[in-house]
Amino acid sequence: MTGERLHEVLHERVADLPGADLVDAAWARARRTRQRRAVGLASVAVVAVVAVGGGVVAGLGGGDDAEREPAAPASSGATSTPAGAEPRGSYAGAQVWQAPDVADEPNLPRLQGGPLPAEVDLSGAGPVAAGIGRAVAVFEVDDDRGLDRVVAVGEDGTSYTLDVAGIDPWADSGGNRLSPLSRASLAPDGERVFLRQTGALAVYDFGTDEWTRIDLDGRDPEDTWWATDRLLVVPAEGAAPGLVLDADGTRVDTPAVDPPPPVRLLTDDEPYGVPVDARDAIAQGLVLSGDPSRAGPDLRSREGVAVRWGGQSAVLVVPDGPGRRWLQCCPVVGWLDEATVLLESRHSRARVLAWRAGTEELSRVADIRGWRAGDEAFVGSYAIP
Amino acid sequence: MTTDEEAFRSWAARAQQDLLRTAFLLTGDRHRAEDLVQEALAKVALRWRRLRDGNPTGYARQVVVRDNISGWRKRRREVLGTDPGRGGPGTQVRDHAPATERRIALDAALAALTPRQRAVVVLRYYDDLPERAAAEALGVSVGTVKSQAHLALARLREAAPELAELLGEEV
Repeated sequence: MTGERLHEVLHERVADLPGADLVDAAWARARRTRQRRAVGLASVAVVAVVAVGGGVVAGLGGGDDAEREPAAPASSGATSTPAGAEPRGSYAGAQVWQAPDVADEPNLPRLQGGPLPAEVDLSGAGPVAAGIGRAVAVFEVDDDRGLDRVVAVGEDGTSYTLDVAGIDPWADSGGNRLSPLSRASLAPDGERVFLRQTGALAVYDFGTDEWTRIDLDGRDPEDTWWATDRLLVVPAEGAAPGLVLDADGTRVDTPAVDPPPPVRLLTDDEPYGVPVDARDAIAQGLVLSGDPSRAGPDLRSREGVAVRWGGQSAVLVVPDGPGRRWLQCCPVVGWLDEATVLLESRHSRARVLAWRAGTEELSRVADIRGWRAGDEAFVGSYAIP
Repeated sequence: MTTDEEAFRSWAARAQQDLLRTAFLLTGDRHRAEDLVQEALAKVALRWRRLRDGNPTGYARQVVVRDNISGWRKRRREVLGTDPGRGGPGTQVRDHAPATERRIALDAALAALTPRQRAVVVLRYYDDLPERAAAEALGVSVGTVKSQAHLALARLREAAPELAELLGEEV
């Protein structure tokens, strides 16, 4: 009865609130954001290229009117602490926050409207990815013989299977068998993915359903990455200069450049996965070299996710250990918005989580199912946003 | 006009007033409420293909609630510098009509809550969301919703005894 009375008073309070038509402005704002995103990744790559390689801007084709649109305001409080909560402490000047234990992950609130479906199915039972246009994520599942299957998550949330019958096993120059798919394999726009082969790349186009094999003149494809939606960079190796290639295999006459630098908070920290940009922020999985327990006695793990934005930084310390998350558990996979980082939480029931940087707010984005922990392992590459 | 745009506009036209009312109860400020709703609608528009067959209104409400709390953090110093019990325009009204008295008391009482407590009250008692749905909208656990609701009701009772009297002793 009390709740009903409060309900009545609240409704009475807003019953005569004048209406407003916000639809046009909202749609226009979304359209501007889409335009900005379409050129944003390419522009980020160009900025990195200018800083590192110089003189390659023309080759990568930067610049677009949409980039000069006023920036949308930040959508979250990444620069502040949440109400009633403070960082656990400080690590190398970075705010320290703590993630929940694995056992608590199922209780995290479910993110609505995220870029991934609630469940990603790696079983390979899905339809064939023929002409789906683009993928938001691609996963390779390995068993003890190497590559077993590749699954692409489409924009519609379906887990498609990629036909990889023509893909060979691949080993690095040291003879170590590695996954043909790397975390950097999916192009920023999600329209192509490369798989690493001996001295070559196999590039799949989700729009045309065609594979293109690109010979690398004996170079090691291990650290290949996408500088833009279409341009691949194979880093320099010894005396051999790096290569810049179009997705169709055409050489682009421009110096190869390095990817964004890894994120470290202390010199000896060990970043892993790929650093992921979002405007002026960058995030990456990190094994901490220092002792986070100095920031709080409960912080026993050295596994973390580091974020830098503006002049600030934060680290999410992630509990690890036997029977819990794996070593290098939590590679960053993308940004939900300007303040929310998406990360894998790798353990026997792996998930993608969202962390609102600068808070301890986490939510569950996707459960990764359809693989046999202990017998199989997976690697994922994402195109988010 | 595309089918997506038509569908979005149709949904948004229906949903915006309810969202605006929720946002106003969260903020007590009409302009801030409109900003929040416009931002939420834009985010829905960006994800429309994924949301259209799901619960776009729930997603939009989540954006409104979370962005309001985030925005409050940024404006925290400014907010703390005012006395919410005296600052609102409603408190200047000298009309003693019962409905106006309730409005004044409610505004003052809501202003005494933290943004998260206020959100719990609005989601649970205005939008009639179950605890789990309120927890998902806020990005917190069900236990947090329960504890924040308890604290919020106690604070409402303390901040506005006349409202508590109006609503019954249990509030």
